[in-house]
Order: sequence, then structure tokens, then C-alpha cells
Amino acid sequence: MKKHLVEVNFKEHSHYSLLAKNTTEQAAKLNIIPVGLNEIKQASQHYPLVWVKSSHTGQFKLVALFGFETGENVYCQSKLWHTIPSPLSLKNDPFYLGYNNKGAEQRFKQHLTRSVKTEHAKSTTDKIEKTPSYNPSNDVILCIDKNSASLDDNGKHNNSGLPFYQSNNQPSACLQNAQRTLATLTQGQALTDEFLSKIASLQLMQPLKLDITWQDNTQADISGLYTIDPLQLNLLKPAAHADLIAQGYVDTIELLNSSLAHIQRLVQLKNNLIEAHQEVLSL
Amino acid sequence: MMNKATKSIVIVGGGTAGWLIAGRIAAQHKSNTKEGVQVTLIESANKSPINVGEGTWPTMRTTLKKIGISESDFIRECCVSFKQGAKFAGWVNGAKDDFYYHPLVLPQSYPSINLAPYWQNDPLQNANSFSNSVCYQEQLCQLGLAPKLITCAEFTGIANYAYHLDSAKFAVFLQKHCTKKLGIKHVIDDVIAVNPLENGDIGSLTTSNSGHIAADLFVDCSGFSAILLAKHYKSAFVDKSDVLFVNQALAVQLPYQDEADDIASHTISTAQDAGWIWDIGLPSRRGIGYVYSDNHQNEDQAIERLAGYVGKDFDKLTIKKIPINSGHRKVFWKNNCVAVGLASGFLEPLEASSLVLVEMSADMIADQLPANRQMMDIIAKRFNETFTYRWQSIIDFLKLHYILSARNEAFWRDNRQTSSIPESLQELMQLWQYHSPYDHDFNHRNEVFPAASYQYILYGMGFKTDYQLQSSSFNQQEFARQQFTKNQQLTTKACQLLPKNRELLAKISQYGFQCA
Repeated sequence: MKKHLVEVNFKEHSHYSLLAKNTTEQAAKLNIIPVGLNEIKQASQHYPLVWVKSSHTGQFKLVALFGFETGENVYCQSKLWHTIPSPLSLKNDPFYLGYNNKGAEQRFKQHLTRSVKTEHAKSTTDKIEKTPSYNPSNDVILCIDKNSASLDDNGKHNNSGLPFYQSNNQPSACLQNAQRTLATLTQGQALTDEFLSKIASLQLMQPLKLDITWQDNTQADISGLYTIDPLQLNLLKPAAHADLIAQGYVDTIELLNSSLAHIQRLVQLKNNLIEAHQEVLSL
Repeated sequence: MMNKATKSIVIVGGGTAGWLIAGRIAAQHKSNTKEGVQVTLIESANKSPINVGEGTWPTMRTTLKKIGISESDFIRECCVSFKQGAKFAGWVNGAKDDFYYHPLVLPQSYPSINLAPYWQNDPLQNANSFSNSVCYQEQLCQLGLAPKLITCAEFTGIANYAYHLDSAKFAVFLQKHCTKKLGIKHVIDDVIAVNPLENGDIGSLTTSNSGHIAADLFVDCSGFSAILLAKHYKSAFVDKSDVLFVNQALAVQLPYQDEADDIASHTISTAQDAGWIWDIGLPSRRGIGYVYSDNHQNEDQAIERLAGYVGKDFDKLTIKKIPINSGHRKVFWKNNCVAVGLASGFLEPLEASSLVLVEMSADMIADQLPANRQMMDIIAKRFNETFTYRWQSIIDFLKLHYILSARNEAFWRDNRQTSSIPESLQELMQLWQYHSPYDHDFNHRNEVFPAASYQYILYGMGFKTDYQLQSSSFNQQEFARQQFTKNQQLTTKACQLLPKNRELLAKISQYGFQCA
């Protein structure tokens, strides 16, 4: 269903509450799920992180790979989903951010990424940039998708959800959490975009082709996935390489590439499923 | 002297031909390094280039890649749209439903099977056009669809494709790339004298303000005037106006009625009583032109035909007149001077042969750049043989479009006179009475058109080959049927998958293709 975004306000939404969501059900239909650069430290320990091109814009997006065809999530099918940290992008619905004016989005993203860069600068060169005072509430508004199934707008669900507002009419922890999640998500997106523009300009992206023969001897040619080419990285001119190191991007690339080891695990998991299926058939 | 290494090249002419040659040589021979071959391009301060070519071949993708150009930049800056072949309307009899396609995608499973005989002998198939039976691209063109997706990498596509472009912008774009990235020296000045050496080679050129410019090899890209090859060396011109009759062109640029109008994904060539009209869709405008024979029609009548095609806005447009002197130089490479582009010859733009010949020349010069003066004569001999053959093949192929017509106007009747048909083409036509064009007819390593192109024209225009004498040799019926089915499936799939030409071009201008 098409999203219908409106700003959250006490007057209209004082009775609203958020219903518990089953993200596993949602994830089970997804073979790729977007992740942000601020999630990869944890994520890279559990599943492969690759790049795909958006069918709408052709621009690269960073995604976690959970299956080899549309609609297939091997982690869910193998009942391993609950053992891994789930990508943040599954968690924000029905909340979304809206921006007050042109330029607001850019200002907000700059604000979010600045703190990360300052932290990195502190650890590498001890240079600390002073963060100018910035008030996000001038730029950003919290919205909900009125069409979302996770909303309870009139207490029909026996007040089982988390209310938006406290009895003293102040925003509840539910709204505060939503804001935090959205800020982290937006930060991740902004960091990914910055990283990507650097990587793309250095032409470090390479297509990843997977030719897999499954347990049942069927074959799959998986294309449309991309990774960062470590060979090209080593061929960079010293200045460009030093620049990547200074921005912490070489570490990022190592994390991303280390996650590719999980592809083998994903293949194994799927083969186990195929085998189990074959056994059932032969019974 | 004979062992002097080729270290410096001067190109005369700053049109698309000059810059393409310069770019190809400079990129391959590292002109931006000390050890590389030094390339200087002299562009006339007074004469503006003709820049006629608005249609390319798929080869342009490789050429641009070799020069180190980004496809997204090229598309954005040169007002580029995609070209997936040509639609010929009215060439057979001029009726409303008379049209056929010459697409860029080869017939299904070519060359592992020649589908032409199976198509003609199968009533289920030949109810459909030859191109529709064996290739999915005609449908893409009819629907105005693009050959690729925004997720495709630069220079790769779902369907084979070439470009339509604004050639004046293309020359400027190439110039910028060549001077900024490839280390080509750009001199804006006029050549006023050619200074020969004792052996007849060109030693240097004298310019109005930049003194003498010496080089080991000179490339003449000076357009129709061919100031080095024709004016200095007096290389003879081989006139082909007795084969190809059109000798005038009237060109206009027509804005779209509506910004959202479809951009045609192919060149449209519509036959007229004394020639034909080209129609090329760029993102910002259409380029339309009437090429005709002034021996069959006067200019006023020709303008009337063009006005009839363009419609109500014709009066507001400026008409550019270009004479077409069909033919080419007898010798293209003489001593240390080689002519490329209009300086080497010109033919009507029916199959967009102008830029492709420049690319082929650039390939041969860059790939086989003579190491020293001694080698140059051998390479020059090869070059002359190769390009004499290529021009002849193109002339034959162009003429083929005319001799298969059944139109009854004098221009078309005269075109079918045996005396106007080259013997090489007459011979091929005799062969094709009994077998369809295939690779054994074109086994030269320097072929321009594949046999598939001849098939598209012959069978698109209703030519029938008599297969009866060899009917026993068609024993791949089942495999052929599978290929026809496969093509149908691909057609459906490609039509669902691919976006509108204009939609993709808009996305490219917003996002570009991300490199991998």
C-alpha cells in the first residue's frame, strides 16, 4: 500500500499507540535488506554485506544478503533469524522523518555525520572539530505512515500497544525511541552515501559473480551483486590510499570484505535446506 | 631517415573526425607522458567544422571506452539518445504500411544457425516480418523503449545499441577530454603552407601565427577541402555519383511539440520520390533532413517534400544545405599523410557510415602505428587496400537498399538500371537468388557489415531466395523452430523489462550510471 505520511502531533495522535511488530515475518520475504555503514561492525560478524544497484536510480546501496533469489531468506528458513542482529531498516515503520524545507535534509545529515567524523579524528590525529550548535527540531519532523498496519489509532486492540503520549501529555518512550532509531538510520544512510561516492569515484567497485551448484545439482548464476575490489585498492596512488586511511575507509572496506566469508555459510545453509527437503520427498 | 621513429603526429582539423583520431592515438600511445607519442591538433581559426554525423554504430561504445570517456558524461554533454537500428519507411512501394527494420541485434542464435531459409519456408513465421521473427529489437523500437536499464554498467546493455548525438557538442566534448586528460596540444590557427621534404613526405606545416609545425605523421581531417591529401598531394577522387544518385541534403532541427514526447530509439528513413528523409531524435530536438538527387528534382520541390514531412512548424526553421559529393579518395594514405573523415570521402548517411569509418581508421592508425618511417609504407599500403575494400562494401550495401525497391518514380527506376549497379553487388545478387547471405559471402577480415545486415535488408524488402534446389540441406527444422519461439519469449521479456527511451535518459542525466 502507498505510504501516507503525516506529522505526529498531540492534537491528532494523543490516542495512538504502536502495536508489537513481527519483523521476522517481514524479513522472511526479503533476500536483501538495506543496512547503513554504522551497522556494519556488528552485521559483518553475522551475514554477508554486498552492494546492489537500485532498480529505480541505478545507484549502489549497501545490503545484507540473506538469500539467493527474490523472496528467499535462508536465515529465517533455517530458524537462525533470532540469533543475529536484525538490520535497523526493519525497525522504524510506522515512523519516518520529514524535512521542513529544502536544505534541511542535508543540514541534518551533516550534523549526524559530523559527530562520527569528530570521533574518528579524535582517535587518529587528536584534532577535535568544534561542533557548531545545531537544533535538529528546526529541520526535522517525526511522521507516521497512516496506512501502516502497526498503528492502533483508537484503542481497538485493547490498549495492547505502546501509547504515543504519556498521561501528562508528553511524548512517551515509544516516540523517543522512534526518533533515535530514525536518527541512527539516517546517519547510516548519510555515512554510506559519503563512503560510496568516494569508492565510486576511485572505481573500486567490482561485480561479484556467483556460480553455485546446489546439493540437488541444479545451478545458479547469481549476478547484480558488487563488492569492493581489494586488488584495485592496493593499486591506488599513495596519496589516494592515505586519504582513504585517514577517513577510516580502509577499515570499513576490510570489515565489508570480511563479511563475504558468510556467503559460504549462506550456501551451506541453503544446501542443508535442500537436503532436508530431498529427505522429506524420499520418505 | 628511414629508421626515424614515429614520435610526433599532427592532425589537421578540429571536427569530430580530428578529435576522435587524436583521442584514440593519444590514449593508446600515452601522449600525456614523456615517452609517449606527441599529438598536436591544428584547428582552423576561420573555418568551422561540418560535423555531419549524428548517428553512430555500436562500435562507438568501444571507441569511447578506449579514449577513457565516461558514458554518463558523454550522454549528458553531447545531447545523446540511444539508437537501436534504422526503420525504413516507404522504400518498397511507398504504401502506408510499407516499412521494415535493420536492427542492431543479430538474428537469434546467429551464427550457429542461419534462420533465413527456415523463416521463408515456414508460413507460420513468414506471416511475421523477418526482423520480428528472428530479433526482438524491432518491437523495442516500435514501443520507443531504451536498450538498457539504469542498473546496467556503462557501455553495456540488454540490447545492442549505438547513439544519436549532437555532433557539434560531441566535438567540443572530445576536445575538452583530449586536451585536459590525454595531453594533446591544441593549436588554433590556419595552415598556410605545406613544406615537403626531399622524399616527398611532409616535413612541416606553416601556420599564420604559430610558425612551422613539424611531425613524423600528418592526419588530414580538414573536411571536404582535404588540404593535405587533395590540395597538396592531388590524390584523385573516385566519383560514385553514377551509383549513388543523391547529391544534395537539406537539414533542419525541429524542437519537440511537448517535452514529454517519445524519443525514437532508431533512425527513421522515409523514402521520397527523389531520395529519402532522415529523422533522428535527440533528447532536446529532432534532426531531420532530405537527401535527394537534383538531377531528378529541383530545390523548390525538394523543400516542399521536406516541409510536407515536418508539418506546420516548417516555416520557422532554418534550412542548412549540404552538397553530397558521393565518392572517396583513390589513395587514403600517401607518404606520411593519411586522410580521415570527410577529407577521405563522403556518402549519403543512409547507414551512418561516416563516423564508423573514422573509428575504423582511428583503430588501424592507433593499433598499427608505424614504428618508423620504413614501416610506414607497408602500413600505408595495407591501409589503402583495407579502406578501398571498405568503401566499396559500403557503397554496395547502400545501393542494395535502392535496387530492391519497386517504386516507380524516375529516381527509383534509374537506380535499378543495371549500368548503375557495381559488378560486385550484381554478383552477390546472383548468388542470393539461390542462397541467403551468410558468413561465406563476407569472409574478409575487414568486413564492415555482417551478413546478417544484408539479410535484414533483403528479406525486409521482400526479396525471395529460391531454396528449392537445395531443400535437402535444411535439416534443422526443430532447432530453427525453437529459435523462433525463443525470440518470441525474449521479445515479451525485453518489452516488459526495458524503460522508455526518454525515461532512461532523464534518469541518466539525474543519476548517471554508477561505475563498477
